Amino acid sequence: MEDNQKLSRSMEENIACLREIFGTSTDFYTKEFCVGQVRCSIALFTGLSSPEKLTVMALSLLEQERVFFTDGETLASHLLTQSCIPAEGTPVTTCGEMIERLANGLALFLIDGSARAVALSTQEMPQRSVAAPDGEGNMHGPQESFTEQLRVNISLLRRQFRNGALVAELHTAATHARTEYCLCYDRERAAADTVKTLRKALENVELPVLLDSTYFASFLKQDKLNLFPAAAYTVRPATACARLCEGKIVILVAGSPCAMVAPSFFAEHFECLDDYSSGAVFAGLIRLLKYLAFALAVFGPGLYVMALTFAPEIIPVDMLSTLAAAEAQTPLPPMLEMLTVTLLLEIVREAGLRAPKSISHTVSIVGALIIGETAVTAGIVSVPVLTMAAAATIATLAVPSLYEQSILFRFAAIVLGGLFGVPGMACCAMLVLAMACGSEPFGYDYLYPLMPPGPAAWRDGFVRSIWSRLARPPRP
Amino acid sequence: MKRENPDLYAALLLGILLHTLLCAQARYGARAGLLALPFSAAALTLAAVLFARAWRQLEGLRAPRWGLAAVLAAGSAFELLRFWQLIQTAYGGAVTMLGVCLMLLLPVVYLRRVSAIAQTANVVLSLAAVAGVVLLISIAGELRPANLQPGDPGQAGWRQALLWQCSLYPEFLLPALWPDPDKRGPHTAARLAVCGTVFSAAVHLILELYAGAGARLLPVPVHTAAQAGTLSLFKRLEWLQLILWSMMVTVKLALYLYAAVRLLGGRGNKKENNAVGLDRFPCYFLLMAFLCAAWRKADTETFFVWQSRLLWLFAAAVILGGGLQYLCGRKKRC
Repeated sequence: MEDNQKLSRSMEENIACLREIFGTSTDFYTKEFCVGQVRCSIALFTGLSSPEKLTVMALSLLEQERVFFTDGETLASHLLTQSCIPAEGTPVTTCGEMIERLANGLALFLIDGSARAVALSTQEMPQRSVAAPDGEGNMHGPQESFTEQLRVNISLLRRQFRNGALVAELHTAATHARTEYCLCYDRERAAADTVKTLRKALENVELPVLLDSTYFASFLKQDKLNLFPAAAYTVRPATACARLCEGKIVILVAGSPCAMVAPSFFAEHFECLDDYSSGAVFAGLIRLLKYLAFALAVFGPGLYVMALTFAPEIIPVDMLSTLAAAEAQTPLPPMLEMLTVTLLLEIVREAGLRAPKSISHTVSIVGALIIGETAVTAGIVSVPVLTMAAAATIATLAVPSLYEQSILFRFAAIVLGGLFGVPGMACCAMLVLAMACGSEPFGYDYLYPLMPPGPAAWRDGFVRSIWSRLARPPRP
Repeated sequence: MKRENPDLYAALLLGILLHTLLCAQARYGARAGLLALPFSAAALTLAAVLFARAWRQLEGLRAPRWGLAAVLAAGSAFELLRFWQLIQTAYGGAVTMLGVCLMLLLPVVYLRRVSAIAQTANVVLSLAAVAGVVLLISIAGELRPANLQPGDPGQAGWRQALLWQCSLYPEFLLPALWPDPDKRGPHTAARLAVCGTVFSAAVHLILELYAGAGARLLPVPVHTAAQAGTLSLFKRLEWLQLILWSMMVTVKLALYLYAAVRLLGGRGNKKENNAVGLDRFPCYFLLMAFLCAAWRKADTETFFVWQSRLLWLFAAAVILGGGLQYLCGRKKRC
């Protein structure tokens, strides 16, 4: 059956068409009845649409209207234009539209003698309530997160963005499941060419299934070899709203509580809502600490291996003797030792994350305490290596949105620093830098406002200015 | 900030600073260098501006394009060799030449776009500035005005300073190749020449303040001092200097590659913002590895001296040819 096949004037044929498509589905429900002299039928999915709502909101109201209908066209026109029943203003005229409306939880009012069906808003889907987010911890500001319902998510944005500039464009992805996604932007602040480019890029995305907004990410990357993300993600409507105010575009996908923000810059990974609610000095300090933590997470273990293997002159003499004594008791060279410990920590993290919550704590305790302690006691790994690896892992969590990149770069730093020494570390540092600089989200500098160095870097980059200065528009 | 017109000034400046840091040190007295500074800056600016004007007249000719591309290819190979020799001096046989090639050329894969080169150069320049300040502070106590050599440097000293400061590097000529040369004007050449010569004179001044007359006896004083740990705030910080220098070399190689691709008539992949196509990268790597292997025993210092002379000749020929072309065109119009 073609999606654009027109509806028939015969209700039986339209019902037969639906039965042919959904006939074997247990949640598909149809009921025939008469309105005046006109034969009608209701079709809906019981899990998505509520028969009670339909009865109360539509059928009872229709009875109260006291209009006697003799033909289908009059009834359809009345429902679409005059009736106070919560019906969609646009009639359903094709099979494709019929399927789409039913899948969205609407009830279809099929009328004999009319080639137009009426969609009634009687959705009632099981849904998670709006709750505090699991991740993206913030002490101040709104404590609600997106849910899996696209319309709820749009309403969460609309509630915080109370002017007419917010545009929420609904699109259907070219996936097998026809998943809906929504492009939200501020029409006064978002760059028109960026919106156009993004809209086109997303329209061209062809996926077998779209379960999350993150699926779009790799299609937005200009350089597929680049490891830095082309977009940022948030589960907080407040953060999404703040990004909209900055002229960014938020992409919401039906069934996912994770909103994608594009274009995204490097500095944004080091920002959070609390930065703006706490004092400027403290916020600046925390941001600098996050940059430091990222550097430690990426280069710390590599530098340690490089220093111990190729450039011991870096290490102060007192510390060097301690490290040398510790290293002498372990059988593995520093590079392999660091790789082993880092891999082990990653395995523990992954096991703790994927295991059921009831045993995830046990996994962490077994991994961190028992394996760590016994490995040191058995002389398999040294205490300094374990300390450095643990410090790097904790530092990674200070910038959680760059977790994947931190881990990959860390492995590269350990291997290159351990194999080639100083040139290897230089290569790794340059690779990270070149990737960051080579990333070009929608033609914007990924390192903006940090680079090129200027007042913008100190306005809201490495640190943030006081609110009175932030409120003023930045100098061009 | 939208990348509409990426500026490669920082990358060009890095290349010039790198020449001073790795090669042209302790070549002349500080006093003579300061005296020669305005003249050498003016000469370099004039050469760069005239070359840019003349190049537009001769842009269609294949010989000058291929000639300059060959100089850039050789320059890239010798830059790799010079860095390999530096690593050998500092860390013995820790890394092979092929390893150095790989380490320095691998990041170039991500520097295929003009905007990426420009942005990376800005970051590296900022890092170099910070590291430079730290290094300078670390030796501030060792800088003694009494070390400055008194007396008139003499005509020979002055001439020597002028000659060394007037070394013509490819970076002075490259702005002529960039698109929209009218938008840039002569100020890019002037800024490059002034910054390059001032940096050279400053390095010579610092070395003379640090080591006095003995500075000129050291072949590469900054490295020697660094290896002894005296230039480092926390002692023995030469690894950081090597990391910074290797970053500068990588940016320079990416810049030369971009320029060479433009000279050879390619815009790479049009989708990638004037980029060097990724498909050409293996050929580039093989060419560099081959050239490094072939010139393994060549004297890098002599090469860079000859490169400067050759570039002066090349610039003169282009200016002359461009001038003649301009005059002939004008005569025809009349």
